[in-house]
Amino acid sequence: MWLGLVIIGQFIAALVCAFVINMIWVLTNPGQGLFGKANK
Amino acid sequence: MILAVALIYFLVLIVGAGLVTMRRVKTTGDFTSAQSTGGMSWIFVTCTFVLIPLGSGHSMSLWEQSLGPLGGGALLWALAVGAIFIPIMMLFMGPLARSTGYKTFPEITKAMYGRGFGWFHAAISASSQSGIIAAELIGTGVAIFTLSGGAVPLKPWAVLIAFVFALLYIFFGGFLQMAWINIVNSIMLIVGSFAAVIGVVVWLGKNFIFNGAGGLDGIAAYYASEELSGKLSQFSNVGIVNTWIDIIIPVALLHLTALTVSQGHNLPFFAAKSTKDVRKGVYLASVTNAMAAVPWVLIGLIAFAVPAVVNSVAPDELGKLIVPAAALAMLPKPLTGLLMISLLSATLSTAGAITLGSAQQMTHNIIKDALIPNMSDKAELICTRVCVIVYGCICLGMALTLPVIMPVFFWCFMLNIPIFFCYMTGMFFAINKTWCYISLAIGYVVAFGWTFLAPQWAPYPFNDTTWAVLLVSFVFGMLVPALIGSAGEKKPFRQRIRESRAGQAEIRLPDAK
Repeated sequence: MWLGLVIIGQFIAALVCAFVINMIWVLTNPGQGLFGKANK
Repeated sequence: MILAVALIYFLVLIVGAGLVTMRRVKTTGDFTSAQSTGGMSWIFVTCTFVLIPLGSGHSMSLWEQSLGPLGGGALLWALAVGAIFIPIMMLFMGPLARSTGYKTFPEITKAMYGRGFGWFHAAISASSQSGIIAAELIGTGVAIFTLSGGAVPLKPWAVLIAFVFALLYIFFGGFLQMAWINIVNSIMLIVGSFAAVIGVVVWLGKNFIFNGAGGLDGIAAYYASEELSGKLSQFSNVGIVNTWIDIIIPVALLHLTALTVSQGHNLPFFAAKSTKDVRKGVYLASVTNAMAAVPWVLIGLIAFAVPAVVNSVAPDELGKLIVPAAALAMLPKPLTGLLMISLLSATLSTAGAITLGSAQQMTHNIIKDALIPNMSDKAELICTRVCVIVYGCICLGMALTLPVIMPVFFWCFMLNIPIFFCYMTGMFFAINKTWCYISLAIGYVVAFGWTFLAPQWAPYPFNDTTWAVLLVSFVFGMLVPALIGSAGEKKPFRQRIRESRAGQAEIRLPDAK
């Protein structure tokens, strides 16, 4: 139980942090995609 | 036997990748940034970059810390690096460095503040990062020593083996060789370490009972009996302010400031095909880096409750050796080999990349720029390879003689903080050479003063060297010059890049993709 929580907790925390920083990038670079697909 | 299999795996992989990629290395640019490929695609950039900041600090020092009061909170380090530092580098700092069009960091700071600063940057960067390589060599050596059952002595033989492998990692094909090896090793790192966690859990189910509870429940029961249940979560310390001031913020800031201006860590960005290729793998890189630390901490926490492991090593060595000792006591041999490969993937990639970056700076930014400006490209390529060996030998000497490693490792990181603030200020606010040098002088006086005199009068957290250097470097390297402005007519570098692209610049920069 605790082992699963550690693994999932770390995974979700990493995704959330990366998403937040990526959102800051997207907001400061308008018109460009969140996943880098539309980036030129 | 396990050790031999793991070492043969690396030898075959490294020499194989080296022989294949060596044919494509004709120029210095091919060696240091794989120019012959026309630029690296995003998967190479991502896998290479993930493994560079992921070394012994991300594995061994974390399992060591997890045995202390922090427990699973040690994984906050991995979040600070993987989920904060990595995306900022891939989205902001890497593309920023690329936008200059230069291929080494001291070239950028030289264009801002003059030749002297470029030499200084190259020298500080190469010398400070020798501490990181020494730590990686010791870390790899400890793993080799333990998994050989003590048959291979740590100093010099285990460290020497680590040294040879770290040099072979980049010697033949340079960056291209490292990129191919890192693709394979990124997979091995995750697969090997998580497979070992599964192996440990299976062993627990068969062999471990505490107060009537077996397996993982037994481990939880052990920590509950010691009133340490909070150690089994990485977030139990998140609400404590000191966790942020002592771990999360300094780790993230130290990485960001020191490694933004590190050549070794920026190699994948300089070698990328386009800026899009730098950004594209950001989620994959963040999650891989943050998760790669999990198995080491989990195995450390589990093994701490298992008498068979704890009793197998001397008490004062337990922190350093607990995971290799757990592998020997709890895992079947193939899984121990996989774990060993996983650990070596982490440490050797870091040592290899930083050696390549430092050798490039020694050759390109110091020897060529200051001593032999007319050096031919062929001579520069030979000189870079010679510098790889010379620089590696210096780091080997440090690894064999230094009594403590981790404090040196952090101290070396810190030496790059003043340079970071000069770089960012010159890039965005103002190019003011006088204040740049004043901030460097104050930054290094504080770095040495705080280290050796340990002032008690400074208020928390500025009694800590890292925080003190961050503060003075920010004030004198960024705040003051930004308020005073540039000396003379020099505009901030970012503005010059924009004007250069529009064809209006007074100084033309190399074409930037």
